[in-house]
Amino acid sequence: MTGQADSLLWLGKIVGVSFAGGVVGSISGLGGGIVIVPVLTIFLGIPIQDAIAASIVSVIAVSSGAGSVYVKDRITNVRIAMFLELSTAAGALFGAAVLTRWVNPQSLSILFGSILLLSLLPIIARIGEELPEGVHNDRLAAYLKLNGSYFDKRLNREVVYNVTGIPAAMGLMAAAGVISGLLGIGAGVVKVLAHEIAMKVPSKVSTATSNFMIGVTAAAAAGVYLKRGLVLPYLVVPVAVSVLGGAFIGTLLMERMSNAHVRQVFAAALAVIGVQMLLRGLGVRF
Amino acid sequence: MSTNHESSMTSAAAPGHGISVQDASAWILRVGVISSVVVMLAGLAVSFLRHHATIEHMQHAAFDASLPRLWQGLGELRGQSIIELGIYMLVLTPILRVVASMVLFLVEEHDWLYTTVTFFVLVLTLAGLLFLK
Repeated sequence: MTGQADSLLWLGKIVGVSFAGGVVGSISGLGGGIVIVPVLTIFLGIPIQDAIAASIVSVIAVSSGAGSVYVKDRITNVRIAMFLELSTAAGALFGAAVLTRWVNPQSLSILFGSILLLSLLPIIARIGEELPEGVHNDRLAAYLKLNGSYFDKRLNREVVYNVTGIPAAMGLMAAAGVISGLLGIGAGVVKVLAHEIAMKVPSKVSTATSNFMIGVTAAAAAGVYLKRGLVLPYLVVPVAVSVLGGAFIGTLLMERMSNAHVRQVFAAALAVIGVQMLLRGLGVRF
Repeated sequence: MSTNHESSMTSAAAPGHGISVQDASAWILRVGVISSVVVMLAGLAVSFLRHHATIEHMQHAAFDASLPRLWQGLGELRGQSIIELGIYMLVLTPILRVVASMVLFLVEEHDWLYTTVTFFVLVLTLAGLLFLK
């Protein structure tokens, strides 16, 4: 039946595109949504609102799938994740419930693209640095008991780290939450940046902890989208499952990479995505 | 030493003494994701095989958040309802992990500060589904 063939072809395209997005999103710690939404809209012609809703659900799948690997290796810092999540989830509710009714996604696309490209600069400067040095717990971090340690497979030793810059991190996380809720992405980039730049936590910890947070924030935003009937079940299933598959593969690769490699992939993904977002926001079609 | 990572959130479980934190979290994530994916794919298969879902239908069918209708649809083995169940399961997975963290902060760590923090995170996360319009 032609009807069935069309349906399968449509599904096939979605699967292929989503799988690739999952791999990139997982390795760079971005959560997949940031790749999925542009590609679904631009290459498959799916209305942006539908792509955003599908993406936010798939972000949960990615975060949970990747997270189950991180948890086993004991890298996630649960206290950081929960404390910052207060700010992030609140932001997500605001973005999803309030802003989606008022703000033009194109404007946010431009803003987000600009921020991404700007934030490439500090990342590039620190590429190659294996672990942050000379970091002392600030008083807030010490009071909140946020410092931690983990066993690094590459370095083959226990790494102890301190945490600083909590207020800045909270601010960044609120922004991450709003972006998450509004654009349907994991905003992992902002979360990882908050960990690395503001709190000066090792890359692997920031990626793992951000991954935990991404899932929770996405769940908060998804709740709003589900309640409002904005989610398309037949789009969500192939997207979510394929992104998950790609993310799983990506996680296996990432565990074997050094902290410096993680950052490099992260920076490359940021560049591509930043440009994409800018172009989309400016209305450039290709 | 530091007690933030799930490995040291509680001392290694003594034999027969209950599971450690990271085991619980990993289990929730793994079971949650795998089961929700299985259900979603099953729903998709049912839609194809039983209802011969067309591309037009797939591109436009919207998620119906009404629980009574979901229950009814499941009873009728309606493909879309099965998919919707799977989606609910997926969304609940990180939420369950937060619940587990809260319980463990309370019961294992006796950390009132973080029990409260995690509780508020839970409220926020469920707000979209339960409270907002």
